[in-house]
Amino acid sequence: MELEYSNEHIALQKEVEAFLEHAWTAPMRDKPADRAAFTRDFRRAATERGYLYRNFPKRYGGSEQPPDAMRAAVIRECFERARAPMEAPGNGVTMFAPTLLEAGEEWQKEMFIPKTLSGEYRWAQGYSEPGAGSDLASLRSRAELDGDEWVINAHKIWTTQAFNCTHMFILVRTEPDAPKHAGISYLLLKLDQPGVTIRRIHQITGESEFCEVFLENVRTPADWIVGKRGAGWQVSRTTLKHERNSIGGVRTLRLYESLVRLARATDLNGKPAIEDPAILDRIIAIEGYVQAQMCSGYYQLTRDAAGESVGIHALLNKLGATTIGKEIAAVASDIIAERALHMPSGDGSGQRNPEQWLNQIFGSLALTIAGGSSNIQRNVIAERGLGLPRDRSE
Amino acid sequence: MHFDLSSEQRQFEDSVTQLLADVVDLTAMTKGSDVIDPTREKVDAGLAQLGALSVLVPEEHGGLGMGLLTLSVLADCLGRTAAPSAVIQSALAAWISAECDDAAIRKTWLEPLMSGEARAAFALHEWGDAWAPSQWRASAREGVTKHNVVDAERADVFVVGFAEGLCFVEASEVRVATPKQQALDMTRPTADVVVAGNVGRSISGALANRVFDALLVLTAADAAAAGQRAFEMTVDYAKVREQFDRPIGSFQGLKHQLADMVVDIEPARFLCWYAAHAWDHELPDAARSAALAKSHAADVAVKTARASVEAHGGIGYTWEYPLHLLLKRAMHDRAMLGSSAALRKRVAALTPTPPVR
Repeated sequence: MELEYSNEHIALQKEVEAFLEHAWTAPMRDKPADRAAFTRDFRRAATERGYLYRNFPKRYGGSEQPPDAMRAAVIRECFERARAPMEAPGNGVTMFAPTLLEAGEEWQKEMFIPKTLSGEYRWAQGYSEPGAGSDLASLRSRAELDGDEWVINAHKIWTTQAFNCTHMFILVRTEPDAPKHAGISYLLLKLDQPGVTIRRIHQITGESEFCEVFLENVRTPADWIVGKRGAGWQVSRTTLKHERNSIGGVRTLRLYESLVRLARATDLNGKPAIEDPAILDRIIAIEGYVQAQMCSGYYQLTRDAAGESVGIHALLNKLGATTIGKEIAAVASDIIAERALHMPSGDGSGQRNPEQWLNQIFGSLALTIAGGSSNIQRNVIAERGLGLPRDRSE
Repeated sequence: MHFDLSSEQRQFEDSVTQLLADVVDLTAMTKGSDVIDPTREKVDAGLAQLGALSVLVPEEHGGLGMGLLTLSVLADCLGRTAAPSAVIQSALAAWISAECDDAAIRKTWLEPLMSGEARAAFALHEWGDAWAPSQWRASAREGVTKHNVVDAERADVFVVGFAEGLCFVEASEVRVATPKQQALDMTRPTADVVVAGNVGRSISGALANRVFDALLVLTAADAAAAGQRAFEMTVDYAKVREQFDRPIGSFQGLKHQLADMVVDIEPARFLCWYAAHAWDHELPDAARSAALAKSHAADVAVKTARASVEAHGGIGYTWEYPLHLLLKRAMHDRAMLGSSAALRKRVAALTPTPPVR
């Protein structure tokens, strides 16, 4: 057991810190006029140094670094500490580009990946439908080939920030007579065209970042398909051997730390909430879970870096984080007490004021649904992790 | 950065696992002391041969100097199998005798403890839910009655906590009271011991907290492993037990319970590793981590073991089925050295407030 970084990694840390001071922290003090352009240039420079887009080949705008989980973790830590942006956010970089890298044609990679990594193309994910949530393969949106174009008719839902996207990758039924999973194709389309309607969904927080997307006879070229016809399900399941570049549990640790800050800064009956024995006991109980998850994250990083299996642990991260998030929400609710009676002001998702904890209180609930609901996580843990028999017919 | 056991530690773990697989029969132990007592002799003898008693003792004193993390691997193996053994107590006592400032203690006890010729027991619990050094009120001059001393009847030497610090007292100077009640955990019987005033040899106060923290870490590892084993037995059972013509493990209701259990119990062992590592390197948060690990691991272990009994159904509630040995192991660990609530208070008191970067 060794918790310090090796000399190689300490050297890397110094190198990254020096770069960030020069390329991010110092210029940001002068408040660059065009923040977006500055960020874009910063990302390009960081990619040239091999810090960002490490898994992507240089010819597609990546930095093409050999997989090295430990180096990636060191880099991420430095960026987080400097509050410098990493890869462009969104489904394009995290889901679409890796999928295309694995399953796409050469011309598709050249056409889409560089502009996706630069943030010019922003991708909406067209997966869930009103009738196809956890049982995604039952989706009914469809596309038919008409000459050299697909004609798409679809009703998609829970599309994050669709109003802010340029393109969509979508699962549609193209082989209506094939069995459930075999009739689906993975198509690409432009969102800025006739027949596309985006309706923002009013969420329980009062915000509207999720959308419904309606496609009515929307057209896209016949070769804007990833993989073969009917192979869309497999394409969407493409899991790359990704280097783990963040230590699981760090976000939960940060959340825990802000709970402690809240408990210190907020008065409860005339005293800081942290001095209330009942509150303090629950906070320490949560810390046990938080630190256990952090340690599990360090273990997973170690195994990954050594090219060894992490076993069941990786499957547990999301449900673990969700469970802790729920506990933190409960304690935060007791700390903010009567201040929970007002909706948050909606100016960002920070947790600076007690009222803004409602964002976490609702956000922790969103986490039980988004990205594979908790009950689906439980199925995956039980079946893939523990080897229990399936009970669904598929 | 390397957050994992070393290959040396893995080898040690494998040897211990093999030994315990050969000599500990969990189901047979439900029959009671007729099985448990001879098992203890075999476990202790086998572990002594593997060098378990000298794991913690520094090399300059003839030990292996492999640290508390290695000893906590042993605690993990013992917890998993609900093994009856006094080795952990003796191994820690051997370390104390090597580290302490009293040459006479070292001369008398280090060799016998490392060879397994002598066994040690810790007499710490004095009153209420008070186990920690700051709560030892009785002075060595007056003597004391200590409660809940594990394996007191077999001990050759007692490590007794006094207001002044720890004291090594030979068994001949201690009266072990006959227990009035059966122990919750049959594999680890406890007794009250009466220690007269002005007996034994005292050690300067500084070591007491280190020893208490080490016990917390070892108990945490033991508990986490007992909970883990109870969980694994439940998964195995869910695959073979059939109701409604199919394995109960195919029902989502049970699957989801098992998933929640594994999310609780699996990461707990890593927290114990960290606490052991922090103790080994005397990190600033060593004491805090020890208390946090013990309160957390014991809590999730008991929670998991209870859920394991529930998932088994009626069979899990019978004496003949060995699951209760693991449940009681975890319950014993939770009650030892201070309740989880008390330890959380200790965590909170050890630093002004939880650390925030």
